[in-house]
Amino acid sequence: MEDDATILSTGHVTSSESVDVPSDFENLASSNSQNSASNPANPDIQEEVFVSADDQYVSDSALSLPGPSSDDDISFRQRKLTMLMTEEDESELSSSWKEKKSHIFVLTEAGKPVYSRHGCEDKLSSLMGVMVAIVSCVHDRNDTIRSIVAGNRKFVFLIKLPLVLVAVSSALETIHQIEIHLHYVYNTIISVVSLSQLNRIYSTQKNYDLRRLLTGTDKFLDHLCNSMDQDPQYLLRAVKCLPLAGHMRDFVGQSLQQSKTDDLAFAVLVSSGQVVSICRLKEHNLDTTDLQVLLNLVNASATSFHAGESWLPICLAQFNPSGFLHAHISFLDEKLQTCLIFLSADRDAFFTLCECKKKVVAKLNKHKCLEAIHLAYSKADYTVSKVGIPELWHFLYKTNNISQFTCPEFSVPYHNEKQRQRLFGLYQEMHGKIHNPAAPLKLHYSVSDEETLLAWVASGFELYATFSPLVTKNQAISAVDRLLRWIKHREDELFMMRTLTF
Amino acid sequence: MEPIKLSSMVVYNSTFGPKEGEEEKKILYYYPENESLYKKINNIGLCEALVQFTMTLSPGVPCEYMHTQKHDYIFYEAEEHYWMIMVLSKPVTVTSDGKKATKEDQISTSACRVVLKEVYQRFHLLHGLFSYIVHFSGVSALKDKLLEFFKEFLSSLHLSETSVLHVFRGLMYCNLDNFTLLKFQSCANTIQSKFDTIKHCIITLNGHMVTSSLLEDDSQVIVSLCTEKLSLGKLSASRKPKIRPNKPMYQLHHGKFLSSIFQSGSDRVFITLKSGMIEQMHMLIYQAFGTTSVFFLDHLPTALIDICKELDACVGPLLSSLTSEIQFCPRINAENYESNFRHIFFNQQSLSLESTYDLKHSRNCTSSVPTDVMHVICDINECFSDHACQEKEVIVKVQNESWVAAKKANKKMLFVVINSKNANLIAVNEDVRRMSTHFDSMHFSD
Amino acid sequence: MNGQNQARRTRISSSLSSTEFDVSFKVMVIGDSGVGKTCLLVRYKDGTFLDGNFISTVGFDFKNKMVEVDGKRVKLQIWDTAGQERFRSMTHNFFRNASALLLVYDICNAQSFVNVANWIADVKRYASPNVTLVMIGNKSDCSSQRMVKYKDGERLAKEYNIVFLETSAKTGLNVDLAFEAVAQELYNNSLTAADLVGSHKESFDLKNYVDSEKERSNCCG
Repeated sequence: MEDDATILSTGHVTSSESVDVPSDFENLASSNSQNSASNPANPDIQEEVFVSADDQYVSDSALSLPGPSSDDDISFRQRKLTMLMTEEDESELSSSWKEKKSHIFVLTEAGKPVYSRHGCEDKLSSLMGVMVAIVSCVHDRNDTIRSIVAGNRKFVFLIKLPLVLVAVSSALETIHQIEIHLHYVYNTIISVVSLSQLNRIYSTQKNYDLRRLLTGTDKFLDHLCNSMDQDPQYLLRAVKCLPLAGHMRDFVGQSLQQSKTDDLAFAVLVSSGQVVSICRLKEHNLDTTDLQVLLNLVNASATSFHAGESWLPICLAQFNPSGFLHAHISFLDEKLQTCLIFLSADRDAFFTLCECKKKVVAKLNKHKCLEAIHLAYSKADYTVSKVGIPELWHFLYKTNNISQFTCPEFSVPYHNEKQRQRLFGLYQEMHGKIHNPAAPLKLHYSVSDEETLLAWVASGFELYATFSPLVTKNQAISAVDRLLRWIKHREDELFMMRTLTF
Repeated sequence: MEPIKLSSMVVYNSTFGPKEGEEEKKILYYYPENESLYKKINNIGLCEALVQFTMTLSPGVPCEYMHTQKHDYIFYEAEEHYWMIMVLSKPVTVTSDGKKATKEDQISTSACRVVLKEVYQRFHLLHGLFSYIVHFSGVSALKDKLLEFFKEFLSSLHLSETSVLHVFRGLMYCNLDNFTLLKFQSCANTIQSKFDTIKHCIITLNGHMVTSSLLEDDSQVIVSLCTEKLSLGKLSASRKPKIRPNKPMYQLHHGKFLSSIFQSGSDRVFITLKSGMIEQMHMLIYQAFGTTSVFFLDHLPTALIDICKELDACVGPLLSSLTSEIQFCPRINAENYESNFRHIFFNQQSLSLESTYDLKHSRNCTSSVPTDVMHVICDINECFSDHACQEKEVIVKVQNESWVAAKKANKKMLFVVINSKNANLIAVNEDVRRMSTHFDSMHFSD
Repeated sequence: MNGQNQARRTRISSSLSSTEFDVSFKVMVIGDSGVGKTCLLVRYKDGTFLDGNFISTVGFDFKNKMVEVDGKRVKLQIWDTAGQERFRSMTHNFFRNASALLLVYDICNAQSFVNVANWIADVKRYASPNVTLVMIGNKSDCSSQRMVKYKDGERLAKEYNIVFLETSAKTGLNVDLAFEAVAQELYNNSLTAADLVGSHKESFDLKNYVDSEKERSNCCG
């Protein structure tokens, strides 16, 4: 990191500064696609696949069409589309509904509504009918729709048969970023029903109403959608750790290790949505998206878990899209801040894990870890002033190899909601530019009347920083230098540098 | 790798065949022409559906693009209910394991939409409004004109050669010093006052704009038309005019009048006046001493040769003396700096454009812009052009060793592209600062 | 499998000895989504009513409640289950371990009453044959929206020969009774013949007890 820091100021750019972030996104896309392409649980569904631009496999048996469509089929659907368009009753869609900044719809390939972020899905069935008709009309041309742009409004399609996900956004996000949002939504749905169950249902019942299976899941999806509009973790594809002294984090990790039992895959301790420590099986990594899906679920239902212990099946798409893990979830304090999660492959392990929890809690208490955690989250985040660089207003820093990020809390001038949202929009915009698939950048420096922004992607990290608009480039660069040193110095406190194994 | 390809070009008006079974009537132009009627109708149906779909969620904001895995659809509502759709097929590459993959974003679709708009403006210049033609001559007349227009236009369309400069739709002005420029302007005024029939005039020198009394948009289209048809841009490079079938209409004492530059044989154009009115005029193109002048007459006199002779006698000597004493103001060009510096300067107000890049983008040419740099410039331009945009300075480093620096002040933009392994933010900033001092009207501070 | 569970249960009982109790039972609350299972439980455990938005239970929540029966400390381990279809197979899996099942329907939701038959079929199929089953019509405070008559509930209970009562998690009507009667029944069932010898204790009849103790809510049809 020190070396990288000097690159900016001395100008010697080495080839080692290659950026591996875009491949992160490819991984996201391709690993998902592999899931949908090769589904071990359902070997009798033969899918003919073709490759899209980002290696996304799309089933050619799309949209309930057997084999290549005949002209009659096509003209039937085309006519249906025209009919749907003329039937569209616009009065159903209120103008306040239309003005929402970001819509997310999930529907089945048969056009049945599954989820809508705003408004009741039932009222939107004709709109969803049009969406699916457009998808199938493009499919008839042996092609796959990706996005539509109208002014500042973007319509992004993610086709994950039997589901079709559509986002409509007028925010500053790029199409690519919106696609990633849709992947998160998709993974959250999979976490509830599992890919194999989904495929099994739709291989026999094309018209199945998935909402029957998803009852109660809307709150996960609503929570996810709201978070994606304001939480950098989804933008950066990284999780935030609770700042905690290194030795204390080690104690927590060792305590988690106590829970080792058969079939226990992961033990995770989180506090106020931030990761404290993770312990895992040697041969399995807890993928960042899986962890994010899990944490969203816990955060979204904190109120319904209460103070007891809960037992919940969850399918983590990256870990195994066709099977369920079972989550033992318990809160360790009255304020429902600190949460212990065990993930086990054994559906009968609940009572065993109740015992494990006791052991872990005992060990945590022995080292006074819970007090330390409590102290850490009651102090809340650090402020940017702690870094001691007056020109620096705010920053996001992501370490690439462990997919974790840190940022100070919002302070002046980003102290109110409006300014916070504006800043988040700026981060989205910079991130979108840096990770533009057509022209990925290494560095983006821009000056406006309100602030100066720097985005920088180096081999080990990504940095997004905002400065006063009056900062000179020399000042900005030396500030970044100091900031990187500051972070390096506190690495153990800000990040979970090691995950222990059972 | 196959280059990006035009897969279809469509002009339709939904109101012409609202009933089922009448869909064919909507089609005003369809390329490829030999496509089955069935497919034509289907494709237009899809476009109509997309337009309506986006309207339901964002009323008043028309559909602009649809991106699919294999194609880019570009939408432009040229006039109310008249839609022009350009469909581009993305280049296909074969990956090492034998799979076919489409290569994303070889060309910025926003640049292509600019091309599509320009197509319409050209048509409009030559034939007038779609609705006007339909009103006065009927739908079939519009279809005939579109067919004829696109036959010629598509044969000369090379999308992969779309230059980065295209997105600005600017005018390359001649870098004359103010005094010479004034003389040219007074020359133009003299002509307009002497000849009643001449309502407007444009003078270009070596393919660069000197003066025009038309609105910027029309000037831009006419100059780019002339540049293309008369290969004016190349004049400066190889002094030798390469005029293809355009035989001079009249070779006169000082210069020559060119016959029609359009295959249609007509030199009538539809000029938009400052009042917003559209007026039909006749174009006369006159070349002398490296200048090309375009005169716009409100009617053609019966004896065309007489007016041409008069013009030659009047304008010829003026231009002769002007061109002999031309003073160019110092231009920043590649010679002033190392060859790894390139720049684009654009004034949104006057559409004045200056650049060390060529208007024609060529894949093999060393001076060509790398795809990612082109994307970055397009994006920054889009951002700078947006009223809501607060940014006034951007410095970017792309994946290869290029840096792009852009500054905006008032309505002027400067882009500098630097190819240097050893550059850093400070050094780039220093270079840009030095360069921006050449554009003295811009006050860029650090 | 059953043997394993048995072993596990005893192990747990022994490890819980720190909090003193004499005997413990597993009780499950089942029924369609939205009938108020969690609310019943919260009312019983904390004496409060969860008002406001409907928070559907995800998966299974597990809580302990101590009750005193005949001077003995009885620990009820209560499972709050999610009513959604997707948790059905997991719910069945837990039936086996339950000593008592509280089957809840919503008197304002006719479908939830219709589904009681399905739930009972599941109970017959998956639960232990001597499980204690109580049918509960919840939300008895919402008389204006009532869709299921008290008599209908009673008739169905009679048909299946199970205990029936109506409750209100909002007002607390009959809530404690439901759980405590179950505790009493389970405790009595657990007593062996040897325990009963010399205790002069009358045998406990859950049905009679509930019928005599339960309060009828006003204006129920």
